[in-house]
Amino acid sequence: MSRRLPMMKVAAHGKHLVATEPLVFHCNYYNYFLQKTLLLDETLGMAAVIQQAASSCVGALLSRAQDELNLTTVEDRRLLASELFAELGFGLLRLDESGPTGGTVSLPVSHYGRCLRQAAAADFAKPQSLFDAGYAQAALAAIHSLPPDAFAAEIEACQSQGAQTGILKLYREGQPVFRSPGQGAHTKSVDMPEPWTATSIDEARILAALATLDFSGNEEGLIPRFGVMLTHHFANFYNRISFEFVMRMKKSGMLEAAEDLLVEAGLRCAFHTLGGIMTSAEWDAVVRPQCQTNHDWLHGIIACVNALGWGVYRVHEFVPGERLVLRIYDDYESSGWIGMYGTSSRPISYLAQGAAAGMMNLVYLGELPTKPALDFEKYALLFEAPDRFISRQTRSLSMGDSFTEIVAERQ
Amino acid sequence: MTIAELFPGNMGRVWMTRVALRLRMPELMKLVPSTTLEAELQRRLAATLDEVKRG
Repeated sequence: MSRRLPMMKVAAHGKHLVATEPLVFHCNYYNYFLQKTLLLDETLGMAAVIQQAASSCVGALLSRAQDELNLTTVEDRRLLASELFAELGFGLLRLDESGPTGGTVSLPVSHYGRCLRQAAAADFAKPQSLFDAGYAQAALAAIHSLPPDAFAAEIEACQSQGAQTGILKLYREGQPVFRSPGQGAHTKSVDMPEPWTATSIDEARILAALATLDFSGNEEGLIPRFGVMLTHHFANFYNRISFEFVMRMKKSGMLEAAEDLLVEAGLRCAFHTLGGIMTSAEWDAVVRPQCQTNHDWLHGIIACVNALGWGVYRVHEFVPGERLVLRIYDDYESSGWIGMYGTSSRPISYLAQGAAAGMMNLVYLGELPTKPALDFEKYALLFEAPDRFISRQTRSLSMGDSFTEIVAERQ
Repeated sequence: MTIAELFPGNMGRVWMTRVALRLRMPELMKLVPSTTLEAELQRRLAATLDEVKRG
């Protein structure tokens, strides 16, 4: 599918940068369970934070992309905003009934509407297309060369609640935005080790093969891959919404409980996306032939993770079937935290913790060679296993270490 | 009914965490699994559990 878009650069440490904004791959299950967690306590005001985070990241990217592509007309800029939305897997966004004073924006297809509904297997009590609303706010501001806080948006209809088409109403009203830190912290001086050598897995070959796959949105603006709906999403969107949630939970007496739920969203991500990769035809074609033992499956999936924009994952210690120590260089959570808030007083790599335990559970408990259905029953089976793996974070780039370290062990 | 019966296993613990956040009830996280729930609290927790289990 041919779209006129800014170039994506795969920068050092596996970062995916588009107009200097870092992007990461995540699926509809992660997007569902993360958003579900953030919206549990309505008094936290997280719906507004989600919309604001979307608006801030999208505004930063679109304004730079318009300059990069030298787009000066409203029509060209509208096209860019719609095509980028589709390219990244968010769906189809129609901006032609909107102008410099606002108007109606429609969503014939919405990842946050349709695909979260699939992940939840239920309708929602409240609309879920908060990201789309923030995207539309930023798009209109960028298209009409207005300040990034020029528009507010309300969701009038949402596919997450069964609507045929999502409808957003936009109007002029100053809304707070935050400044996206771009790639945030980027460690230059650290000596990054090579991939684990005691394995038959050739990471470079796997990354080269993955680079040939098309991960752009299809004609519906969706990315159905590996049994999930992927998005090529804004890292600082995830960072902002997760970290603002953590900040707000500090006063609740339930900070650790909130962090546990963020890690659980990471476990869901690992189960569906990484499990989906390990049961895919692409895995069978590229990775599985390299695997001589089931331990190699772990090194194979780590190689794949290094294509997702999450940072560079390296195995530091590995006791097959028992213990994994991962060191992550420029994990996107830490990079974003430092860019937004400076040094952290506690470890904040929630997704990485979920991913590490999730990978070990999949490889050693998941019986993936039999290609099981990766459904809620299977997830519960792994989660209830008495010998399942759990993670803890032992070092953090966000706290001043040179890398982030996660230990996954049997509970 | 006890906490463990309403929120069984590791999955139950996650659902209980969601319920505790929804109700802003940190004391729920401190109850041991064998705690017997009073009828009114049980009704409230069960209703919230149904709510958070929906989309």
